[in-house]
Amino acid sequence: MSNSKLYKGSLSTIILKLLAENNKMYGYEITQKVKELTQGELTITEGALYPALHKLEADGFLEVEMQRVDNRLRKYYKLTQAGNQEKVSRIEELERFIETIQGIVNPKPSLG
Amino acid sequence: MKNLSAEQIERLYEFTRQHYVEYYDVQTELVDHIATAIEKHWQEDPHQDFETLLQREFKKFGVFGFSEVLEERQKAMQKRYFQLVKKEALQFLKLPKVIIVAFFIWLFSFLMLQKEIGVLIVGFLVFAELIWVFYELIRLQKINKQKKKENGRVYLLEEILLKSGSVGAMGFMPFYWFWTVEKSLPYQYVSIILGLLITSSFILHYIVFRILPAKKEEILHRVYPEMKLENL
Repeated sequence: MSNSKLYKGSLSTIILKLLAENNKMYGYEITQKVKELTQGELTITEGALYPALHKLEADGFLEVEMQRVDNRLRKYYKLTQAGNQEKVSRIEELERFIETIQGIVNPKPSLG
Repeated sequence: MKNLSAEQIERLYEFTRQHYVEYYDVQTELVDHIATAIEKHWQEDPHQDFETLLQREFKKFGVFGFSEVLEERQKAMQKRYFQLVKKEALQFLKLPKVIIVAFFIWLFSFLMLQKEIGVLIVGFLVFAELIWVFYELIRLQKINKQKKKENGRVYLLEEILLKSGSVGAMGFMPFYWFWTVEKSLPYQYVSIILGLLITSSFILHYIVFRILPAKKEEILHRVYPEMKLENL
């Protein structure tokens, strides 16, 4: 998607959802997963991903786990209990938003 | 599958430092990201040049390079620091500490109500606090410098802790705000509010200069699980 403004507000919701489904993930893995799920339609930029992850971590929605992989350290992100609750409410919010936008973009023909 | 060598990993750390990322925790995450991306390219064609791939991956961070990631990380860590300060401050509202706090608020208010001599004593105490704040700022700065000299690895939260979250001298701010409105209130209220402000500023300074730095290692190990893996 060329217009990244469209998904920017939903980025943290996407992250929470992916982490809920995959237990733990690292930054690069998240970018690849999004690419794969959207068949390359949506690309999360590195400059947006890490700030979003760090913000969620500071808010207490994510916790980190470090692992040694080959000759370097890898930082995995996992949902905390608060993160799980946050995911549910944010997804509901996003779904309502999508419906609202649908109503504007494709208004249902009204009778009369 | 072709992996990055230890030298190449070291080159990536150096690259992040060249691009103004001086904190080891932020560097580590960026190094793993770029390393994984380069290895992905090598899966398709193992003959691609390391430096070319590095530059290509770096471009993906946008025109500001790593600065956006770094800035946001600093904001997030500063937020965590304030959460730590808040947690400690709440302890002063619980028994038994709250008794001492109440005593000091009373003492300062009482002294203020004594006018001349009382105000003089309070003024002296606030001045002594100011001197103590500068002493602590210098003490922590020395520890910070020493730490950098020792191993060169600085963690972002460690830096914030040793810079007392930049709230050191700011602990005096409420006085300035108060002095500007003080004339419009009866003197008794002025005394009580000042008693409250002076006590709060003592508590705040005690937290950022004494309590949190004393718990530094414990806090850092909780926030940075990699510290345990470092020596493996």
